[in-house]
Amino acid sequence: MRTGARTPCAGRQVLAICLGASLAALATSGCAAVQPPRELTLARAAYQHARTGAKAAEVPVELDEARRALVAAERRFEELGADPEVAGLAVVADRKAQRAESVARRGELERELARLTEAIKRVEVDRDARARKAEADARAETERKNRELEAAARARREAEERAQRAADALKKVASTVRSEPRGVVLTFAQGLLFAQEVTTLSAPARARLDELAAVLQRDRPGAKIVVEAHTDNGRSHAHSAGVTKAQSEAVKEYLGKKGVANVRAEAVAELRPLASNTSPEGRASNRRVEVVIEP
Amino acid sequence: MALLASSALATACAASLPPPKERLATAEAEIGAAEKTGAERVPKAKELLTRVRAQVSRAKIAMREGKNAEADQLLVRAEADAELAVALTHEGLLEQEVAQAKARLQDEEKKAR
Repeated sequence: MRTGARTPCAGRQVLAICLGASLAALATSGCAAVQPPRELTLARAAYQHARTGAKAAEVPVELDEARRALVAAERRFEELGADPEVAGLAVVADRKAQRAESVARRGELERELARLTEAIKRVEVDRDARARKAEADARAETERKNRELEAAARARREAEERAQRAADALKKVASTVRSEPRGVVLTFAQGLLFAQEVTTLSAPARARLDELAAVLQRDRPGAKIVVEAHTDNGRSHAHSAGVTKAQSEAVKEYLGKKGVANVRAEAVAELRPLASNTSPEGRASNRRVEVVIEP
Repeated sequence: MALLASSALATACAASLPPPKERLATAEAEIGAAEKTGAERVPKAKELLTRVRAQVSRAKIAMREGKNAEADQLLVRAEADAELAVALTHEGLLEQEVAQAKARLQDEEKKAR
């Protein structure tokens, strides 16, 4: 059943002109005086849209199919006017035009997907490289810390060994060796360095101080040393101070000659007794030289 | 040309047209292709495919009633719709892939910062 008026485009000659003309000419020719069905109008617009799209050149086959379908619809419109058959053909043309556009968009999407995939790959490669670097840095840091810890442990072991060796060596040199908050205290009893009231070092005393100097230089190089000379209360303080000053200075001087620096001499006299001065043994204990190796 | 011939035949000798079995097979093959491509996952294609199935059903009824010209016209349209459904499916699935890739890229870039 025909829904529109019959085309006024009558006669073989006119029909031939209509068929031979371009689609645009068909759409605007005298034949179009009859209102085309809505489907045909939509199909023309869809084809026009697809043909002028940015990516139209990429889908020539699909566009040609759409064009041919539209030509078919236009021709039947010329013959039949606004017939349902024309509407059907126009719908087909419309679908083919839409398909051409969809295929064009697909090409565009494929390129965009490829670009995004490449970008993701780049980011992943960067991330992996950073992760590998961070891992290598962490490994290097751990190794460095382990080396430091090993070095510290080795240094500690060596220091302990040195301290032990020093303690053992000092025990051979002095009468007693004890640890106090002020440092390691070596006590040289009377006779080991000086006889009573004597302020010069004997040959055995010098030999003993040689050993002391060697131990200090080997095991405690640079340590601060205090030489304290003590005596009993048998004489006046002034006298005792003079004697103990001379004694401590003699030891300081000798150690200095043997290369032990940082030595301070202190004349304590009778002021810090170790034992009571009431007995001969006590007084003997008080007459002594103490060498303090400060911590 | 096939369209022109089909249409001309439909008009000239509707009653004498043989049943459009080949066109029916083609339309059904296009439906199968759209389904296989994943039309169900693309709303526009899914909707179109529903319409195509209805057209094919109507065409089968018309063929049974001997209305072969009407069946042929329905199938021509169904075939075009099915082809469009396949194209829209490809496009829709690609759009989804692109959206996923964009989200993933953003996510990766965020992680990288």
